[in-house]
Amino acid sequence: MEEILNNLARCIEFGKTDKASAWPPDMKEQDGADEIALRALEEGHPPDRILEALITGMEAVGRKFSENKIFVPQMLMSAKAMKAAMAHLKPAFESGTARRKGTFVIGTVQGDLHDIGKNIVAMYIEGNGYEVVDLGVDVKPEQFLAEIGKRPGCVVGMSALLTTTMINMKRTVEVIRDAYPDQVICVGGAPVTEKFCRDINADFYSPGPQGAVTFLNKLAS
Amino acid sequence: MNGYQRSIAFLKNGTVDRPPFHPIIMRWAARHAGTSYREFCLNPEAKCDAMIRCARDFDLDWVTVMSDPWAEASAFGVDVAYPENDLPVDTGGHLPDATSAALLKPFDPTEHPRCRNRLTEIDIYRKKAADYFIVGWVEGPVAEYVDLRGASEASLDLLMEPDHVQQTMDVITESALRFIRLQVERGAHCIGIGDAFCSQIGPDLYRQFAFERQKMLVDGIHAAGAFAKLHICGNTSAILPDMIATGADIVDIDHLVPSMSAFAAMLAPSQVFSGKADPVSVIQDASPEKIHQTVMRDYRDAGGRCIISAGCEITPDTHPDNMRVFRKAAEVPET
Ligand code: B12
Repeated sequence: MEEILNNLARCIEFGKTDKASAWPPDMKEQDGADEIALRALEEGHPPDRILEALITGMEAVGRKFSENKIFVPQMLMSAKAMKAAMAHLKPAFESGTARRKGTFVIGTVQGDLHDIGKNIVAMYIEGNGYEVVDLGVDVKPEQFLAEIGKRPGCVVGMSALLTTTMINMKRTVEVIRDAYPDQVICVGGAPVTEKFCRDINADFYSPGPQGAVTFLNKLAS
Repeated sequence: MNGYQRSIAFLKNGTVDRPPFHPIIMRWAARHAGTSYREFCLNPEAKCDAMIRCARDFDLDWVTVMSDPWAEASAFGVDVAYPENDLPVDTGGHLPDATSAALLKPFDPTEHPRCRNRLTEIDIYRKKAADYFIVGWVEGPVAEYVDLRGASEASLDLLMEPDHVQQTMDVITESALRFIRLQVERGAHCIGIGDAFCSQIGPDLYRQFAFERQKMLVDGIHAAGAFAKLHICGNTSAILPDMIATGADIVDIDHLVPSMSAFAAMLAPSQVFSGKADPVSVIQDASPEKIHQTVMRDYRDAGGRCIISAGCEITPDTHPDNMRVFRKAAEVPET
């Protein structure tokens, strides 16, 4: 990979958002994802190649997170850096110059306010080349339905952190299946299991974001 | 032995008929007593009656003031809504940025309704349930910072604005120390420190922000004359040696910690673990044999220095029969 794209990947890996950002201390005063992504575009690097650099960075982040080498705060810093870079790529995606692999609609289910895991999954999937629509927390079944109506072919992701809201996950799947029997749905969150996923008739469960990306990539290919 | 005597004797490494049984119940208690969750959170009589009823019906050894994390946050100015039969939600009034967090002032618990309620709850327990181990509560520095700023914002602040966070956490700690003294004065035998988010920040940030302050809280609890319990759920393996080094008398262990055996030797003679069955896959969903085996295994792993409880809150859907099996499992043989 070219030097500039390598640098961009490093910014994602270490959560360097922009030049002004104080994190990480050993990259102080250096350009961050924001400046580097913009420069890469100006220098004529194709958006798809820039996205690949982001994916490389995200993969490193995901690996370190699953090996307990980094934790939630560092992961969220990387998410922030990625958002800064993605903001520059958005116009290219919207004009069709670059293509997203698909659309992922994610939300934390009704009654549940935990959003860190959902945010991490959302940013990891976005960083892997998908358009992500984040419906937020406490998302009612009808909100998922409305979004699916607007985005044919999307994949739905649901997160639940409470045993009491896992029940709402079941209900949400039922409501979606009534209207869209073939809708692809994946589920996750600390108390959710493979078995629960099967019991509620969802399509896919993964304990973390990487599994979800592998699943989406398989669907997209 | 009653619950109070059993808990105290166990903590002092004395002779007991069986290890104490301290499952964390909140929504489960409200449901068992047929109380709405709003009532449970806001009405001290309702909460205490529910807790005491559960303690009597299921032979628990403790009663606690636990229901939700918002008492201190509301004293600091966060708006909280209490739906009739759902969990409380924070609806606004959060600190908008790390800089304004540093302008936070310590609060006087006697001036805030939710904090006053906690003191009243301890009064009620002293009157109606003095035969149980009475446990008060404060939010730890990291958990409270998360409640005031939101979890994602707080996480970023730890890295980006460490100085402001430190200042804010000093105020949080000062307020908690005040609240601790008042709860012990009213008669709490033990104060729990809830600092769950610490399991998500890794050992470096834990040491940078949490360890010294938790130790100050533990020292404050001891100076006031009570036992200290440190509750951090999640996988705390990387920070457990430090958690033990805070000097907390009871160190809570969640099921995500693979085993207590590696850490048991670090306990001082006056310290015990409390844990660690998975509230969902074991206590709520498993067979009586599995519940029994899990409790036995954990107790052995801890070298017998373990209060019987689940890694965290008993889920509201746990069947009362499972709770009875769980309690029965506390009659572990000598290790
Ligand atoms: C932070 C936190 C809070 C914060 C939430 C802040 C926020 N904005 O998210 C606050 C203080 C608000 C909170 C409140 C409550 N909480 Co809370 N909370 C936690 C805590 C400490 C960390 C959760 C977290 O962020 N983990 C980190 C993320 C990265 O992990 P994760 O969410 O599991 O996500 C990963 C995977 O699961 C997966 N994933 C997640 N979603 C998805 C989706 C898909 C599609 C896929 C593929 C994968 C996937 O990928 C993620 C990245 O690896 C845990 C305890 C702990 N130490 O683990 C309790 C915990 C989740 N909370 C709990 C409880 C009980 C509550 C309360 C009910 C407490 C109360 N009595 O008031 C309330 C409920 C509020 C509500 N209505 O939702 C319990 C849940 C028990 C249960 N299983 O039912 C826990 C486990 C604590 C405990 N042991 O009791 N909480």
